[in-house]
Amino acid sequence: MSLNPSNEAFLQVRNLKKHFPIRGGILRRTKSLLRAVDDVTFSIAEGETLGLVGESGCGKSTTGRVILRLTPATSGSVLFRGVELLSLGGEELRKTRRGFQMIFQDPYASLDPRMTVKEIVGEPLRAYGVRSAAEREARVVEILDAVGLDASYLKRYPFEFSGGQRQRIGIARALILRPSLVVADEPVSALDVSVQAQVINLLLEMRARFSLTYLFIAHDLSVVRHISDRVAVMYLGRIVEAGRKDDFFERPLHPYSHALLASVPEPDPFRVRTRSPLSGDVPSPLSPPKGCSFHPRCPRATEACGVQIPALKEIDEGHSVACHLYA
Amino acid sequence: MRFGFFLRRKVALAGFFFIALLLVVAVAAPFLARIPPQTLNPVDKLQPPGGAYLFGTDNFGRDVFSRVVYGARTSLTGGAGVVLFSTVLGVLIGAVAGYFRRTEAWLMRLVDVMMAFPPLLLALVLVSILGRGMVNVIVAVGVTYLTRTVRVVYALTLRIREEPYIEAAIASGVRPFDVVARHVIPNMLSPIIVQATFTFAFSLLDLAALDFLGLGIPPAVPSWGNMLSEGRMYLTRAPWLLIFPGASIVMTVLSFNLAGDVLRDRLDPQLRRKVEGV
Repeated sequence: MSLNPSNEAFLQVRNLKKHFPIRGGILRRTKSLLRAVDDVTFSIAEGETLGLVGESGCGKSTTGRVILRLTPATSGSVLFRGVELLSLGGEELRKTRRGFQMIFQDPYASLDPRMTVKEIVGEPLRAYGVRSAAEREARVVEILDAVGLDASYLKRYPFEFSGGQRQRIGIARALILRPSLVVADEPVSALDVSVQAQVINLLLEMRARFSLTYLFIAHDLSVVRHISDRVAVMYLGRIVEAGRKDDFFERPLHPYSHALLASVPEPDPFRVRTRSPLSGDVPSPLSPPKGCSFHPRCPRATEACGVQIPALKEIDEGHSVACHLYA
Repeated sequence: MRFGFFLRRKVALAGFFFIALLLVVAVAAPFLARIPPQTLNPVDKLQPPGGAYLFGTDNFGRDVFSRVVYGARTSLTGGAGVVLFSTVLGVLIGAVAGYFRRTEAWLMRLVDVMMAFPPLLLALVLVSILGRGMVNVIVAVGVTYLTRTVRVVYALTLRIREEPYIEAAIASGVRPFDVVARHVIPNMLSPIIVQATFTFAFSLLDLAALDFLGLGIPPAVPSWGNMLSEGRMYLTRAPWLLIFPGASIVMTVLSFNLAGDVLRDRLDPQLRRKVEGV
């Protein structure tokens, strides 16, 4: 449960960086670096769900994609069950992918429009050597049943389904290989609110049934609260706070976390709420502010905040924050 | 393919009908043409259509009908050859160059170099090197269309490789070549088919141009292009020498375009369901 890297961690991400070079000019020289993920460190224990939250553009999706080797990392280390993923290549990497799968944000674009449900969900099996079409079909039917889709849908194409059903297909594809780690990149943000709950409950059900470990990327705190064991908050490519769900939601430490929690819509209209909306926009990750990247928007910023980048420190047991206020 | 589907699109049906007719004519040419296309009959030269000669005769007294019928063979073979050559190779090269970026610089610069030549000049050079004959003419004309197909496929591949379903396939462990074969190429079938119909249509004209310049199919073999070039001297005196092969080319080009439209819709599962109302 500890945020600090330990050797027995199931997934351990250390000092992960992903910088996109911004090129310009005739010679396409690197003009500047977009620091999408800047020195991110966290770990997830087996069976645990870590909710990674932050505003759009904070690098949370990139973090997920770098971990799954869908985009190359700039530096750092990702240990999955003790195997360094960042140094794997080619066929070795492909074989390791079996253990970690991804659920994508866009249930429309992430399913090949020219494939039937049977082909889409069966494809991972095919990729890992299940040659018999009959065996593939049997397993596809089995997993479709698990995610709540009828076998009569096998020959249908993605466009014939609703967003929620499509996301079920995406979940079936991710789970058919029985992975142990699933990175869910905003799996419900593209869905109607009424469908979101169904899909979240399906993810919970699948977690219990297949003993999954989730890295759950989201910007919706109420969703994260529902599904996560621990929460990590990202701001401009860095983790600013991380801790157990209850600790985080009851005693948020970082001023940014306070602001995020204050922005969650309140379903009770009679409850008096103290809103502390943030002023200004997220600064460009191309030229992040000096010192703590949050300090220009922070209501409690001091002089020191503009000078030094605060390190992520454990304040309470399992509850860390990167803020000079807690130094 | 379901027959009812085509019925609903009568114009397209006409296109398919003409292509079918053309195929029958090409296959059954020896039975349809009473007079062999090479038979000279100077006594009956430049006879107008009707009478003993359905489409009239040319300046050597050869039966224009027979030559149009046999020309269908030549043109269809030539066009199909060019389409096959340029599409198969073009899709392979374009998709590989677009997906495996390490090969991109090599392949695309090679294509750029080929594109720098004027198409007809390139074809002329190739025919001069390879010699005349059906296969060589197909390669010579096909190279021009190959470069265009490569460009189209390359651009499509660059777009499709960024689609989330490609990333999803990679994440599910699909091997790179399978990603190309099972996801990238199937998702650009529609534009490729459109490109192929254009290729077919325009290659007929290019093949005719080569024939016209005397560097195409050997003149002994009747082709619509040969007929046009030979008949042009008699444009005012015997317009039927141009009308029949010319109309054949126009009808064929039109039919293939119509057929291409239908195939494009048919190959898109989303459109297919809508059109068929399943």
